Amino acid sequence: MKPMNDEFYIGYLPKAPAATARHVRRVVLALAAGVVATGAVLAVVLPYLGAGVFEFGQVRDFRGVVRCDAMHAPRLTDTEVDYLLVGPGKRGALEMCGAEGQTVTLAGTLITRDGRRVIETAGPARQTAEGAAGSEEPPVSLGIMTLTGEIVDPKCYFGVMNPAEGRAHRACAILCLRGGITPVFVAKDRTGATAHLLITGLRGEPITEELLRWVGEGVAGKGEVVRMGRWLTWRLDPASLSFAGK
Amino acid sequence: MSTVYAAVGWSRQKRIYDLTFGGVLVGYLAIFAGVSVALFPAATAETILIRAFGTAAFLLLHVILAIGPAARLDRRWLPLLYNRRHLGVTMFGLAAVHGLFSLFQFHALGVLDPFVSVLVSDGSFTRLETLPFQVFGLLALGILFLMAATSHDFWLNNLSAPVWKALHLMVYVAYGLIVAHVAFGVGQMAGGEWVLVGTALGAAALVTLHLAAARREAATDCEAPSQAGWVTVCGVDEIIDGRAKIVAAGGERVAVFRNGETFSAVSNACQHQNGPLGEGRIVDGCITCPWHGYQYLPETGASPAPFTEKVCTFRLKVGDGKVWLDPRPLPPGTRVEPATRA
Ligand code: FES
Repeated sequence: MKPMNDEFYIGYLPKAPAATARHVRRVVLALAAGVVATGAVLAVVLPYLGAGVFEFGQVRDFRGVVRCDAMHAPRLTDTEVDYLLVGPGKRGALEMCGAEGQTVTLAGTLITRDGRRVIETAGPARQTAEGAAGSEEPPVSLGIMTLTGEIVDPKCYFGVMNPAEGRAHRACAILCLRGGITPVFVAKDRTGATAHLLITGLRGEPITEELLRWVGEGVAGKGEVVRMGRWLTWRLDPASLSFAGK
Repeated sequence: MSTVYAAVGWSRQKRIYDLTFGGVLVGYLAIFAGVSVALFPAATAETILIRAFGTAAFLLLHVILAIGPAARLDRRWLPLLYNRRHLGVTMFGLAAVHGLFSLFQFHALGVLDPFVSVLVSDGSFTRLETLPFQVFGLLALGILFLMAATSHDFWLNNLSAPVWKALHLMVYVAYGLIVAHVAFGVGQMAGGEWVLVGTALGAAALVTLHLAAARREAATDCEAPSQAGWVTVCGVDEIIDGRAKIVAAGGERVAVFRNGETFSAVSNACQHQNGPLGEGRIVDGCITCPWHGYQYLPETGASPAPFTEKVCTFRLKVGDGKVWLDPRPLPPGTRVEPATRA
């Protein structure tokens, strides 16, 4: 038997035997270095995909015309920007549709990513003196397209969470869509360029349930792409959806 | 061993153990968070915390599972085993923080109760990619909770050692569930390939360690030859003074100790947590367990007063230069006159 194995360690005595203590010190140092290095490596290999910003805690007033149209995707538009509206928590802002066509001010928190803007509302829309605005320009069809990408919830995707895509976020996205947040398709082409489309049913009606099993994964589907304000919408045939890998 | 329960029976070594461990843990969390913030300034604090605590818990579980077999293979690891339960309870704490933050981040403030959402939101068992990894994590957390809640010796005594041990072997079930949680969760995300590779390497290392330790133990498990009901243990000189030889007899491991010129046999399983008494020593006239230092008198298998632990004893005789064992266990604490060299 090796001499160092001859020692007998008893934990409740004040000191460990010398050779055992030496060994433990070495082992613990190596372990500590290994563990800390692993921490650094893990932090590097697990990227945060989004570059979205959520101005958490900064509520301010936004002004514009509420647009809701048939798909119940409430937006706030002015000549410069076209905000998509979502509610607090994992809920939509459907109640804003009550102010369709009205010029309002709205307290909320800004969410931005890739040039897209979303407002988390923080109270009801307040009518302004301008009152009703004219109707929005009619939607323009860009043709039927087959697109590949991922169905996401725009609130998390455009900045509240990071990552807000893929497997780990799927349950959250499903919950957000169930809560009435407009589903968004993040289409990716082969070069990696992305486009964002609000998803509707074939006739421009809101759809949610039919989409849930496809959320948070690579999917492909077919539908008419329509420009509406500064957003694109995709009149998707849910039956055309299929899994398309990552 | 003690006669009254205290939250923790502190000793100098336990303090050093916990301080070192706490330092390494804080170091890990700090490095993880620091590198994340430096590389990905857009990352949100919640996500960093979820990841830091989740990965810390999973890593720590590997360390916890490795200590046991490592100590069987090389006794110098025993100091790490001594206070392993503090690692276990901390691991549950880390996993719970990870779980609670995730529950809030991904499942709260929606149209479903967060606990319902965890169970139903993610999807289905019909596709591998949509196995609801949250459920695996939740089940594992449940097991870890039970283990952490019963980790104190109070429960060990009140549940009885076999029940306690069985409960705490569930750690392997929890480990399996966590592997599934990781593989079907973050393993499917960007960068997840590396997590999958790391998880596979970790599993391979743990299996190898456990197999090596089991092989080492199996070597002592071939039944000794018997003669008219007596089993040969070994030659009298083969046992070093103050040490034991472990033999398998009657389907049980028995530790045969030599104390000067006398020999005594007790069950090899310590009453505390089934530690291998036969790998212990005789210290101050008492058989002393290598794991946490519980002590037993060689001739009675009972802990010296005021302690109350007892293990089974066995009859021995010495003849033909050999030690012989009667493999029928006597009730725990039964006095047996030590056999002496004729
Ligand atoms: S197992 Fe803990 S002292 Fe023996």
